[in-house]
Amino acid sequence: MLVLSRKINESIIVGENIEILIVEIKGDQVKLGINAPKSVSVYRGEIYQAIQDENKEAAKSMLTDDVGKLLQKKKIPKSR
Amino acid sequence: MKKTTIETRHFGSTEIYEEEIINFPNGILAFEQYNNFVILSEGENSLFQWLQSLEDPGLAFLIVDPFYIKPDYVPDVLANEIENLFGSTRLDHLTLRCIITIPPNNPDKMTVNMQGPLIISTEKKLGGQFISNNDSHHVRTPVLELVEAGEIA
Repeated sequence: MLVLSRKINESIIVGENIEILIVEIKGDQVKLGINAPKSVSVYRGEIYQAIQDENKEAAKSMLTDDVGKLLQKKKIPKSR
Repeated sequence: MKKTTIETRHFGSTEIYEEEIINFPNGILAFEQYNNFVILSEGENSLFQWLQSLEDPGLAFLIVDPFYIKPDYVPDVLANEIENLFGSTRLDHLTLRCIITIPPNNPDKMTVNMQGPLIISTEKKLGGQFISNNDSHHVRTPVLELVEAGEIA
């Protein structure tokens, strides 16, 4: 991994058109400003990680008759 | 319409129409290498469908129309991401699904992923997993608790 040291109001450029600016540093928290074209998605890393982890769990799902009974008991409408 | 036989996780060999194949150009998070899926009904009266991978018969996700579980659920997805995948921001041809997790042997702990909804265009035969930017949409929303909370229409 590339590691760069930056100060407040300094930035890094990724590719040709993504700029990441250090806006504020307070204790263990850093505020970043991101300038990027609309076509580039920016998300917090932990959200990606959480969805990846959940998808892996979901791929192991087992659908048994119990599930149908559970839902019937709870009166979920069966079809719209 | 041309039929083809595929192997599935839940139903063994199954015939589908080739027109039913949906391309996920970016796959599904953590499964980016799987790009072709088909949606199979679990049963005529079932709430659930299977999103079955064509590349790996062992890979299938249980999915649900979130309307049945949380009727007021509207994912907060960036318009430009919709446009990137579908080529327009038109919403009328799009179908919303959420992935269900049912822990083996623990069905009453089933959860629905409201933070990573699937959006599918059956018209364009394209789909993808998106991220909802609403902090109240979680990856593990307990299904039966929602039901007990009276969220069901």
